[in-house]
Amino acid sequence: MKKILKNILDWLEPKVNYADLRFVQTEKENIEAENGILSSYNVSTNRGVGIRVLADGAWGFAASNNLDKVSLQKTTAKALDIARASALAKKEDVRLAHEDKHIDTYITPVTKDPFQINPAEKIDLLVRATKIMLKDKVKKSEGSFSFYKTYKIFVSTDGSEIEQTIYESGGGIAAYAIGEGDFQKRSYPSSFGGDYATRGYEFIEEMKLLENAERVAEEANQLLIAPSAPEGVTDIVLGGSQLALQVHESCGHPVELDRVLGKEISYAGGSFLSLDKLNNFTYGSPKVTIVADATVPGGLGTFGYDDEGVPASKTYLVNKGKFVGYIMSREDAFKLGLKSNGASRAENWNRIPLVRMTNINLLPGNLELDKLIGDIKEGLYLDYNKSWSIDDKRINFQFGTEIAREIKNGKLGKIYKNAVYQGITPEFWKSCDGISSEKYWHVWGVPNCGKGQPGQVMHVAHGTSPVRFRKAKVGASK
Amino acid sequence: MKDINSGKELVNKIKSFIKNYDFEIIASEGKSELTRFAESYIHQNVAETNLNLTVKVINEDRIGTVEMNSIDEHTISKNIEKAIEVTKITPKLDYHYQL
Repeated sequence: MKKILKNILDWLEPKVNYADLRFVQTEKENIEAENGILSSYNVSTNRGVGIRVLADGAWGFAASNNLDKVSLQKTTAKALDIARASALAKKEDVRLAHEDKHIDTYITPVTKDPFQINPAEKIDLLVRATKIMLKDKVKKSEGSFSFYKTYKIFVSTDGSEIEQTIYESGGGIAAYAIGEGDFQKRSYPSSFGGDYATRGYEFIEEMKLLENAERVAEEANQLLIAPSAPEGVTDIVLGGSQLALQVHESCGHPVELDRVLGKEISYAGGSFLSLDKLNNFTYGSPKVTIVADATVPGGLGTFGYDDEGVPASKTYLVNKGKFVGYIMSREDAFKLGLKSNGASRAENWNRIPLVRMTNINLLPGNLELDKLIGDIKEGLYLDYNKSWSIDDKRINFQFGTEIAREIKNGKLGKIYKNAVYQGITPEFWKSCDGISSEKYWHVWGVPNCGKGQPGQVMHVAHGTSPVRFRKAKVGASK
Repeated sequence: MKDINSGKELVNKIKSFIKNYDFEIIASEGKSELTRFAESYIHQNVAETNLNLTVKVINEDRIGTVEMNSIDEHTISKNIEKAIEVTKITPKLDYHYQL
């Protein structure tokens, strides 16, 4: 396949400013269980080639599943035609930040290839876990696993030739307690499908679903009879899973440089982190340091190279509270006179690369969790996302959590349901006065980050450990 | 797939691999193009050709479903083999799946 792609590239080279071709082949296995019964088992394969051309200073992109010679020639010609047509309505010539030529291979290190594990073993684990959760008022339980193996070849007129094989594994369980005119959900290890990583089946085994299923069901039952969270202004601790969502929405999206430049304004939105704020804006308290790090072992946003052939890297976005960086494509980085930091990725062969989060990580602090909670006289511990709402500039937000615990005189107390908290992004992060240590730090995989038209769902991650915020506005959803 | 005849050819191809099982296929092929403007200039202009083939193999009220977007013989035979395997591990439907 690489030889075919290189032949196309040779044909394109004299006609274009730049071109890259991506062959992507994905195997996917998805398993779902409900109430102790297998409800769905699907396998799929998908492959194709995406051809991106920069000609006459404008982009063209065409993609096809058909890999025969004639079809690929037609797709290549289409990409070129689109670029030339786009050039008729360009604002200025697209220029790319320099990138070195890379000839390399990257393979996700896995201990247990998930596709070599007997499907019956995976099904049995999910069926048993969902059966355990059917206790008392838990009338519905569900669980799912997804496994991906993606093989990519990237070639470009810069001379890069990169092959990557990325493995991804993930899943989780959830219990729904129903009664008292209400229903309450508890998820494990995280909400909205669980936790994901670029790892093998060992990641699923480490979740210890069977060992946690009973506790999850018990918490769902407790939530059903729990009081609603109190309203007011109070100190809070956000657990790692909820904090992943907090980082995603209030830092990950606003540092996407294409949003800042207005390219996503019609759909995904813009950003309050405008260019004038770079190196000139206090995003949070000095405790807050956030990085984009595509090199973290096992992170769902970990890879060898992005879909523009830029190596995975670590970039500071917020350093000790100061806003210092964006995540960028080569095109957008050029506008700032910078090099791309390798954050341009496409969902598949049939989508053009966009600026996407990698692993956007809040670096750990040095506090023990009991110290973090111990310094709160009265407050709430909130975790596991239930709902999110944030404006298109990513500044005003309200997030809901599955569960909240009272904090009284430094100790965790009773459970509350339907808890929400609100904030204004920089004010909220400025109220952060304590971050727990690396011992509690975990990289949470988020497999459902949507952006772009045509829509693209990207797999990203967020490293977090529980964090304390002073005087947050809390309440209960109706 | 270009027309109804190539669709029929595809059905026959699948039939030759599935042999003794009942099956259902859903095949669709499409082309799409989209142009995005921001600040009155084109910043994305894309085109795609793709197809989707879903094959359900039915084995005594057990169903195995596989999806693919290539219809070469190797891909189809490999995926159908997988669908037959899946019918052996999925639970029996609590209704008769009649074609």
